[in-house]
Amino acid sequence: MRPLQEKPYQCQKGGADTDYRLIAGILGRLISFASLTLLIPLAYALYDGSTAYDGSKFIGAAWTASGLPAFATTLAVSLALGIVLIATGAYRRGVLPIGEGSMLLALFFSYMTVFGMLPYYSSGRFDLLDAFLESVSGFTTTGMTILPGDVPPAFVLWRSLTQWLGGLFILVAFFTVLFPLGGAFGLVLPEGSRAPVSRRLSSISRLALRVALTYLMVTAVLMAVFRLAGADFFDAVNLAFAVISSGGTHNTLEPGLMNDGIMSAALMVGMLFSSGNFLLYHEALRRRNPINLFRYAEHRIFLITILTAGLLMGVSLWAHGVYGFLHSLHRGLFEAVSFATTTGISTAEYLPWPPFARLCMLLLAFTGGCIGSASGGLKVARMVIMLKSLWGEIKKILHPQAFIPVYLGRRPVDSVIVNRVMGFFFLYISVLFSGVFLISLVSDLSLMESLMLGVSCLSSIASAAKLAGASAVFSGYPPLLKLVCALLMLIGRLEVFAFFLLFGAVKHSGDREKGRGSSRGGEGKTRTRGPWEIRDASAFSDSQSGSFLGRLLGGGRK
Amino acid sequence: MNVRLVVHYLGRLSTGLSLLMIIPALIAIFHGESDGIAFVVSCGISFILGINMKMWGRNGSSPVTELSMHDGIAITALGWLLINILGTFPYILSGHLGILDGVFETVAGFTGCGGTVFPDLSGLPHSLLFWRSLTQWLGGLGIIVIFVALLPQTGHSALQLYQAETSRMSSGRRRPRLQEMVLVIFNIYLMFTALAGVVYWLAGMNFPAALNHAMTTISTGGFSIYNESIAYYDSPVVEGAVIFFMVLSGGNFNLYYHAYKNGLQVLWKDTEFRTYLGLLAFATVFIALSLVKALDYSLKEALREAAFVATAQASAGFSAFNYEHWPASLQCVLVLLMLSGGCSGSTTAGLRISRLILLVKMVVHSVEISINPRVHKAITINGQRINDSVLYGVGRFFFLYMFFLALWTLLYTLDGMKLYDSLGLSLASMTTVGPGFGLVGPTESYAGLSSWSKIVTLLAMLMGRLEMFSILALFTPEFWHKDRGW
Repeated sequence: MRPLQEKPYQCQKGGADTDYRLIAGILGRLISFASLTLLIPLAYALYDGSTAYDGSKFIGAAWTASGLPAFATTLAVSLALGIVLIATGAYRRGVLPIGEGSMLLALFFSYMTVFGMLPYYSSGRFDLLDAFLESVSGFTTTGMTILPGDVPPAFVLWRSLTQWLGGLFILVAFFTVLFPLGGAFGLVLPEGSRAPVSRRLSSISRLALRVALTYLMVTAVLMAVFRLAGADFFDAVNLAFAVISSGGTHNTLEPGLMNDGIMSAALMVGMLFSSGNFLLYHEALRRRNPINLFRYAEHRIFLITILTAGLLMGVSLWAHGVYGFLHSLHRGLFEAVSFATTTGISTAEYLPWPPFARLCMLLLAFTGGCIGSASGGLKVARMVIMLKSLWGEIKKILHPQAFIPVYLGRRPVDSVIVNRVMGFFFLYISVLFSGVFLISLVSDLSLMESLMLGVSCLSSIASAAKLAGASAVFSGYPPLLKLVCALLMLIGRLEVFAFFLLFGAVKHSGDREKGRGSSRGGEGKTRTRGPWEIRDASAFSDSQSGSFLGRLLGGGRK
Repeated sequence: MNVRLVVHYLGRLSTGLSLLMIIPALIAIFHGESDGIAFVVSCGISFILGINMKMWGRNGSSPVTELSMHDGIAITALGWLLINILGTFPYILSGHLGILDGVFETVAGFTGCGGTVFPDLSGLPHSLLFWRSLTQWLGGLGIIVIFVALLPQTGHSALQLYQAETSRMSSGRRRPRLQEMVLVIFNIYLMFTALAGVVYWLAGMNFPAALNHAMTTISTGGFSIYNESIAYYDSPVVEGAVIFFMVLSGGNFNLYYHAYKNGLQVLWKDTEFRTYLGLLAFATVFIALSLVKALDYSLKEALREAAFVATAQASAGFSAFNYEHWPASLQCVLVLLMLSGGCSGSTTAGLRISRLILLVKMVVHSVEISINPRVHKAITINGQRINDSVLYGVGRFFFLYMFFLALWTLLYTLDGMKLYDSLGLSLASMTTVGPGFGLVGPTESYAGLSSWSKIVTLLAMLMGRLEMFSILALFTPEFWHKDRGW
């Protein structure tokens, strides 16, 4: 492989420079918004400190104990940074170039990890690395945690909030940056749906707002449901945050409640909901017509898989005499939902469970939820596309010249996308394998423990680590292992391929824009509408194969 | 599908096998073992069956008949089934094994897996030990012939590179061309075996042991005539000889043919072969250094152990050292070696190095292209451009391989087997290496498996050996409908 520098067109460098002021402007807004969410734990710490105050000494001591200064400092620093960035930056109308978008996302994700760890670190209760990992694990909605039971509740709230924010930001990032970058491959929308993806800043901010509102609305509904199902208010809030973001840390809830029928039903519905395609939710809300939710093939397959796996696991649990029959089915279904949605919300010890059930859970966690949700993993649609394309490949052995399309629902999948999914799968497995290797290299975990820990970091489901007995509480891990875990979580959260694309795109944004500009020069009509404004799924696959994805795998037009 | 032609070929296969059964029968007579009867009877059954099939299918065969894809797949898959059934007879008739165990031992032999169900080999007659080794040798020969000459496109590997003239004819194989290739490859295979036998003999094995081990090395099978496998000798010289021939047999036999014709520099110019050697060297050094650091080995001991285990896991699956107590990171390296196997066109059954190279290049390429969309660059290996459909085939092959690994593991756990054992067994049988992890670790045999696990292992070995697609093609309705479709 020749080094990148030898490419002939790189001589044309120059032209479109990276627009740093635009980046600063948007970044400032995002940071300010994120900082404002700190008001919630701040207010809670204030309330908590005030109620704990017994009037004996200075009230500041009670507030310090509840974590108020940590949140206040972080809020002040972060808000100041946000305002400075807004002031120096320049927000403009027009198109957000891919390079700038990628850089923005990368910067913002890096910032969020620092921002998230500041309250933990400044409280003086954790060392730097632990605070960092806690923050990364929160924002990647992994839910691996270190918080001890005696920590002030405001920090528990902040942890849930980082998960919630992480889920929100990955959704927004997905629809605004990752989708145009090609991170949504495998998404095959039902007829009549359209992906409202655009590169115009006005559309992006509108879309981001809508996604956020949808997300917020669902969270509120979940909160109400959990409250009605019997959790107290604080638990209901934390649970709603953990469930909607598929984060799943929840050690505030008493274990008895998890076995309660109504509560676990509410949790299951919430988790399933959080793993669906938010694009379709958004559309269903706008049109007040949820029909496409059910017509969407990925949703159907997802539900059927979970149901099948859950029942099988239940039977396996029962056959091994772990629980009684009904309890087994209940646990089986619950864990299937919890792992497939990569939430991992359970306090059960999995080691005594039969290996079959544990392997099912691992495979479910590996596959993950639907494209366009906050859950991690490989995503159901991609798995289905790969499985279906195998049939075509087998037939191709008999008929080497045949072209056999893959269908998802009733929509054909572009062959370029099928092949890209295949490449993605190899990349995913390679990253997983490298991750497992690194984990076992820097720690003394056994092979199975390393494997489970690797899957749990990459699929952002901490509970998967418990399948082989590795702890989902990382406090006892050596420092290098913590770093490896954090890196895997970040790679997994950005869906591996997008992670590499993102950094590649940041690096080459200048050249890239230059190249695009000249190649798009003649297409005046498309350009005024924005090349990334995609009208519907068929237009999506066509335009993608023609413009972007087509080039992705070596000029796939045939 | 030309049924008569297929039956004719199967008949020839059966007759050939029956003739080979004469050798163990002669050995039995030489040693005065009563098992000779079993071989004579098995030989008779195979011969009568074969002759009848040949006669029935004679009309369908003439030198100009083209082998279609259907015929190739049918001969491959059905031929393997037939051979495995016929090869079971000596074990059952001699009374050493039951039906399931007999089938298992035969399949483990022909697929080159090397997992034996005999708990103790020391009491077995010479003839039966020879027959075990012979099945591996035949299986290895068969697989090279199939994937180099008969069905290269089912392998989706870089095999086509060395036979541009045949790869253009994607739907048919002319038989004269086929026979020529088979003959050349057979000669190389035979030569290597003879060479290995002589070197082993010089290294200190006695004559029967040298012959048996030579056969199982070149076929990357890994059956040994001793319970301790190569550890029986505990000699660095023997280990060195075995390592050399294991490395050799993990290489591409088609490439060896070219090296024979065009000089040895061909070997070094081949990307796959270089990568293969590089991977083995890297693994050896890494393992050795880790052993020195983690387990306080002396460097010499560590290198000896590392080189043997790394090579064995990538190819034949002999065991001389116990690696179960190694750190988990080294087990990861072993998993990688087992999965990658040797080069395409060898008798190993992993993913093959060339596929891994292509997959890595594919991913790098797609990231590169998406960053710089205006670049149009082909993926090449050895300077030759790889066709898009081959690349995509490799992607699917990889997915299917992982899919089956997960499936076997799931099936093993149904029986209540532990996760670690299931995964280790699934890896060891799918890649047909033999020694895996846990229950089938380097010091264990497959004798302790339950019947269910043995059946799953049988399937896994066959799937891994025949590269999945050619077996799966048998299950499509199209395969059995002559006039359907295109």
